[in-house]
Amino acid sequence: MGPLFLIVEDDLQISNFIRFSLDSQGYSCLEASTGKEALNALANEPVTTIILDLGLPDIDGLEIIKQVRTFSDLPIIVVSARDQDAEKVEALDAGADDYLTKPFSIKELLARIRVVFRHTGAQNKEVQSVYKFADLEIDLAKHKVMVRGEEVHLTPMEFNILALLLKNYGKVLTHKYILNEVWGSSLENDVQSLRVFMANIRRKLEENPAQPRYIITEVGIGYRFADE
Amino acid sequence: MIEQSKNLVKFKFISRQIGVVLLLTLLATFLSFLIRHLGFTEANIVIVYILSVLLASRYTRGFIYGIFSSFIATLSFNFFFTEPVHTFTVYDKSYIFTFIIMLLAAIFSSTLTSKLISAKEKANAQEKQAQTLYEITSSLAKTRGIKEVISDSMQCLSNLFGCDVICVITDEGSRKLETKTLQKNTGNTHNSELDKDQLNEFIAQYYSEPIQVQDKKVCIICLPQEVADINQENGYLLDSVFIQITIAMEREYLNKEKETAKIETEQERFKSNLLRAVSHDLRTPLSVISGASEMLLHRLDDPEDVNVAQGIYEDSIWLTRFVENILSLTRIQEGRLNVVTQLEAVEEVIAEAIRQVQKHAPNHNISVTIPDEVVFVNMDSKLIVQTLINLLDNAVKHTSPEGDIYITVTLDSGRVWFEVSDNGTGIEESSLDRIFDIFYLTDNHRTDAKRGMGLGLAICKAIVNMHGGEIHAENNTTGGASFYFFLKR
Repeated sequence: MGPLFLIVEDDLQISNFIRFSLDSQGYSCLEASTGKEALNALANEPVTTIILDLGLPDIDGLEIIKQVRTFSDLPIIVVSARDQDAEKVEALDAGADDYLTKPFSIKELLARIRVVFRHTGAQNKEVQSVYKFADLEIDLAKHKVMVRGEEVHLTPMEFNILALLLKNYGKVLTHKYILNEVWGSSLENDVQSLRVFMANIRRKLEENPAQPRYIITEVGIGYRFADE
Repeated sequence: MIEQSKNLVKFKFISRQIGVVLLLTLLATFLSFLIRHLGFTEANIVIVYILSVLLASRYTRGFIYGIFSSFIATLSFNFFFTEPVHTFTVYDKSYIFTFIIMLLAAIFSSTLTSKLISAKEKANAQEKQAQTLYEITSSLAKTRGIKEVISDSMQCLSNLFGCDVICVITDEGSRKLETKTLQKNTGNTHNSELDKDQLNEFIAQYYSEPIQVQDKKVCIICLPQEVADINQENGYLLDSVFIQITIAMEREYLNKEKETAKIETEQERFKSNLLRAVSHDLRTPLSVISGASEMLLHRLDDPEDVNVAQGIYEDSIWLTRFVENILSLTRIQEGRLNVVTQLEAVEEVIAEAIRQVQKHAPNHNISVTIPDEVVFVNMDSKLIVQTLINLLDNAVKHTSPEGDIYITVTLDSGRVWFEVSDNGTGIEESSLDRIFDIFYLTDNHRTDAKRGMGLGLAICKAIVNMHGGEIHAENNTTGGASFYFFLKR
């Protein structure tokens, strides 16, 4: 049986458009226009992925994420407006897997879905150790990074950050998440140090740090290791 | 006319004073005859005369009349009571001494009395002035509104000087000046109009005093000329009243200014709330339009249909940008005081802007040059990204699809310079200094072909200025245009 999407969106037109896009890829969908309907559908249907609008009429989208996370790990992709960075970060920290900013293109939506699928699939497999991209090769086990055929030296901290991004490649990681994973704490000042580390990593991996190929900044939110 | 009546008043006054002196001397003389008849000593007669001089000093104004009275008294004493009687000569030389003493005593006492009187009168006058001023001040303090201050001032002046008061209001810019006239008899005010050209001629007829607030003439108060003469005698009463009126007027002006400022901020807030609400509501349908047209774009086969879908898609994206710009504008207007800035890496901000622009302009070649070191600048990253997007969009719009766009970041002391340049059509020289104005489109006749981002550059300027930076534009010598802005490090 193929994946079953649950689209939680109070705007009928957007909901329709998302459904059409998913239909065209051969995915099947359920639609819910309120938080209650969504929770109902989750209880009764074998939903595999949720696409969730944060601004719902009855329940705060954030609340739904928290409730879902109490009983399930199923992927959640959040949809929200451009000026709701704080909400996006909160949603991601509460356990959402990725986010889309309105207006988004079908390409973006499908890319996010692919990333989500890959990571849910990867959970069952063994943790990957060697990653290969166009001109980049990283061996996590051997702590080795090759750029355009040449070995590049990364400090242990830089390597840890890169490894974390790689394990979640394609997925956006919030500042707080990265700090917690790598530092073990997340103070506001640390974001600044994180930026410096990211800048240094970019200088070692990227041809042009202002037009990065791999390490993408999600301004105000976090970082993403681009895979395509 | 006035001169004559003045003289008449003066004459009446002097003759009354002299009458008082003569009457008192006459009474003293009768009393003295009585004393002599009764056989009392001459010393008593002298004392009676001195008394008359004292009384004369008391009931006349000015010591001149006192001295005059003492002369008359001495002469009467000499004439009626010293040998030879009914002549101004004396046999007994000791009387001359008596005369001198009597004269001196009379002069001293009369000057003393008149001084006392004038001192008392002065004190009374000052008290009255203080009282009047107090009344005027407290009455002006209660008034609200400029119109009321004017009518209240006119009433006070009319009460104080018992005359008609005219006030020409010079505040408004119109050619006709509003003129109020308060008549003392009826207490009624009537309004009339005065031509601006006749103003100087008109006020020359009166004793006029302009009331100024913050170097601006609010009104001119005109009083009859006589009041000015009374004023000289009354010390500075009139001046003090005018000062009080000015103070009251200033207070009202400040209140009015505060009120206007308050209304303006409210209107501003209302406007940006409305703009934001509208823009916010536009977003959702725009997402649908762009998403649906994009979907059609992939599904349709007929090239003509694809073209139509492409048009819908591109315009919806343009409109989305426009809405984002309006939202940024309202954010700037509201957040002028509380924009949260934090240190951001310049390269991350540039990368984000390029990513956004390349979604819709994948063919343009954008090259970036940044310093080797990581540059951090205090900013609101969203707004600076928006600035760069607008500049890049602008560059994209003015270059051919295969054109080149360059972003260069350079450092100088304390500043980070961003440059966005292209090799496109450039900017018309005549509009270089206006392109940052709101809704200014460089070439109006072409707006159908290429829709302007009239708001875009204006927002860039607003954002950069808000960060304490500056933005400029110029044409490159090799073709195309360059936009520069700097932020403080």
